[in-house]
Amino acid sequence: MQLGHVAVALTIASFAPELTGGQVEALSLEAILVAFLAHEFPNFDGLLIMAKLAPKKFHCTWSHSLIVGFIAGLITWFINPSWGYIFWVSIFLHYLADMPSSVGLPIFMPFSYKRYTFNLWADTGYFGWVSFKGTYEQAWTWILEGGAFVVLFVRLYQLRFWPFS
Amino acid sequence: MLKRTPLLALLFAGIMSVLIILIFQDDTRPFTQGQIFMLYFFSFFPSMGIAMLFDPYPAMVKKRYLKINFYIQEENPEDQVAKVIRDEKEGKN
Repeated sequence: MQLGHVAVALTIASFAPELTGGQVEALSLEAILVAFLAHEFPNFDGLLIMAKLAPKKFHCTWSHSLIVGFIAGLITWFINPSWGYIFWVSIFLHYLADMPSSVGLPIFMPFSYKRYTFNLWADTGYFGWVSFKGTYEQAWTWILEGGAFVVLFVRLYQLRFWPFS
Repeated sequence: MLKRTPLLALLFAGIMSVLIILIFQDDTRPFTQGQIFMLYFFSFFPSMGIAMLFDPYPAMVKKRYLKINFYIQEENPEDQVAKVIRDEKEGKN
């Protein structure tokens, strides 16, 4: 998933009051920032690859394992428990959103290196025009990522946010 | 891509928009025309994907990309895709 991550992160931010027991407002700047950073956190491994600090095959490995997501969320929880709850939901939904890609995710690393995938679309790499074009030449990316934007649209309507304010 | 695919998507987007309105619209604050137009616009994207399921081109593209490992350090993605397309044209795959 590429552009769809934006819609998923914003949708999570729209559920901030439910996730934090009312501590964080829906779609507040705080909710959006935490949800967006947490949701994109696993893809920051691409920055390490682009900075030549890690090989290409590092993508979708440690950063996409449940234990790393749990620990990163735990650190965030110690800083601010409300942020921790948003972080966990955001990062685990990132893994779910990436599972349809053929690359598969080794979610049980380091206990098992087996990659799990729904195999709905072929992986097209981690960055660049080839990756972008290849992703959106396939049917299921349109269905799931486009669907994420429709869900966000309905949430905006339910919460009376723009363009429904 | 078949010419009928985006046309099918326009039709599916209409159906999807109507269903969303029927399911989620609050009778005390119905969608305005502008909001319905925006809903139709956003519904077009997943509808395009549904329409693409009935088109052989996206399936062919998926098959093509499944042949490529984009995580080989020395390889360039553009070159890898070009090579697979060249092999397809030469009937190697």
